[in-house]
Amino acid sequence: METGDFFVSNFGTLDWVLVAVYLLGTVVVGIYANRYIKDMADYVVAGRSLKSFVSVATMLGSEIGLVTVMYTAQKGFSNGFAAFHIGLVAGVTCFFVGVTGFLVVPLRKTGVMTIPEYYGQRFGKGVRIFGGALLVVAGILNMGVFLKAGGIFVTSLTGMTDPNSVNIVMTILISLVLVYTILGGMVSVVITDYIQFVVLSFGMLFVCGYAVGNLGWDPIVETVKTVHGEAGFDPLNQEGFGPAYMLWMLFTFGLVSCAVWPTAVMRVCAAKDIQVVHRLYRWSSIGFMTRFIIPQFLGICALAWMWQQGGPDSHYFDANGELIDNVDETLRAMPLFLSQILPTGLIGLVAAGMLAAFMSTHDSYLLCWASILVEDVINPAMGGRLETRTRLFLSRLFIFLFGVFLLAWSIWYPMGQDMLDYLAVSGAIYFTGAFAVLFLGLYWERASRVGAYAAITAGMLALLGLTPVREALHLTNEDIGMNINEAHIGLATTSLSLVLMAAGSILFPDKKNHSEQLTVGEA
Amino acid sequence: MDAWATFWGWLFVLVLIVFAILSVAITIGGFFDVK
Repeated sequence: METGDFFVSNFGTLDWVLVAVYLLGTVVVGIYANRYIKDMADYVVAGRSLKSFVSVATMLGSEIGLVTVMYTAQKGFSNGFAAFHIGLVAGVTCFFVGVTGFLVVPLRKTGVMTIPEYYGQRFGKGVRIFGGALLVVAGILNMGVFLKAGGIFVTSLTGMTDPNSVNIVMTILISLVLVYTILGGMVSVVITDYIQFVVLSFGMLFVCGYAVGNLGWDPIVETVKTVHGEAGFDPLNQEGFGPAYMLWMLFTFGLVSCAVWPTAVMRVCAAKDIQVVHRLYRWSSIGFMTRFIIPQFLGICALAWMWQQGGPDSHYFDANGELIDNVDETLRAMPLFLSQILPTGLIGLVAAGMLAAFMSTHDSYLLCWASILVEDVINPAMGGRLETRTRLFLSRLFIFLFGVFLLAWSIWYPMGQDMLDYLAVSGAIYFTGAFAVLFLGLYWERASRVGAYAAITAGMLALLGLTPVREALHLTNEDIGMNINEAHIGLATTSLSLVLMAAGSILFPDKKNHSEQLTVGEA
Repeated sequence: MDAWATFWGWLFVLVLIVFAILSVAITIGGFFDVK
């Protein structure tokens, strides 16, 4: 850690007060809203009766949280303007899904509420339990670095320099999240999401303007030219991203995150009708583009600021002016930059909005994984005999256990790659197989149970995209003498899942074709 | 390189403008929806 004035945060007492008041205010609003809601049925009714403005706010609010801002800013910092291609392909793909209804419309017509439920409806109980279990494993692994993003954000923004402070902050954060979730923060989500959207959207717009005003547009562009060269602008350049990586981003943060990831699927399944699904996706495309491009720009601003402050041979650059290769440090760059340029007061408001978003992200994800584990894995495995009270108890127990795992994983796991790449690869354990099963299951009536098992199993090969796994198996690029990155492994796994799904279905067709009414041609 | 820089620059400005309009509309419309 540097000493001197270089990294002294502007975060002051007023900011701490703002954070406390904001978080307390959110809880009070939640409790006020909760008094109208006696049970889940009331909550669903409240959700279904939402007008369009608030539903778009909750939709965008769930896309733009602290974790998203952290990992996308890291990409902007590490790769320059070329990282904008991720937002561009994500927005265009989401709009394409909105226009064509690809995957989401036939899925909505099946009437299921989760992807494993679709597995069960189309391929039987065994596939539902197996696919649901793998989804929970991938989901919890995926969530495993959320806490790290939160801990690094808080310590960097507030100027905590003690090496242990990240772990202490992560422990406090997960405790707050568990209390918030287990006490039932869910029902107030509509109102609090709206407030968060307002604070975060205006906060981000203001911070962008403030950053450009501070740094100047031309110096920002010049810094990216100096540090990243051509690869900082051209996403096709092999020194930076390259075509395979762009295709991987189109698939993961474009198609999968809007049409296959469980939180997106829940929105599809809860939509009133097909028209609403189309409209939701067309509007969502703006959010999908914004969630990448604005935080990435803040990452680029952080790069320009660090370069202006230090230049070559400083905290972030070696003697040749090359960016250091340390993912924990590049993750810290954006909050560190904000802690330097934002004035006291504004910095507290940004921190409070981000932390509130962090709570609601964890809240909805923990509930999502726990309910899939109970409703799609344990209850079907027990023959559907579990009482409501038992299922509720199990959900809360798993939320607590997941919380303990998240803390342990955040402290112990050496990431070794950009957070965005970790999220794509860990999610791929589920979505490579899920995409094959959904795509062929919905559009091809001969898709069979054996094919589904094979495709879902193949998804586990995506684990080879995690840097520590490759190091443990001696499969790093140095070991094998080839330049293989996570995009190549992810695309290969996706292709293998599709091939196995097709081959398994042709070689081992289902004896009784119970799928006729569930494929698109018949739906 | 300059062509790419110009393209990304204008895309960023466009995203900012659209997001700003959307934010104002949602803030005002959403207030009445919540009410």
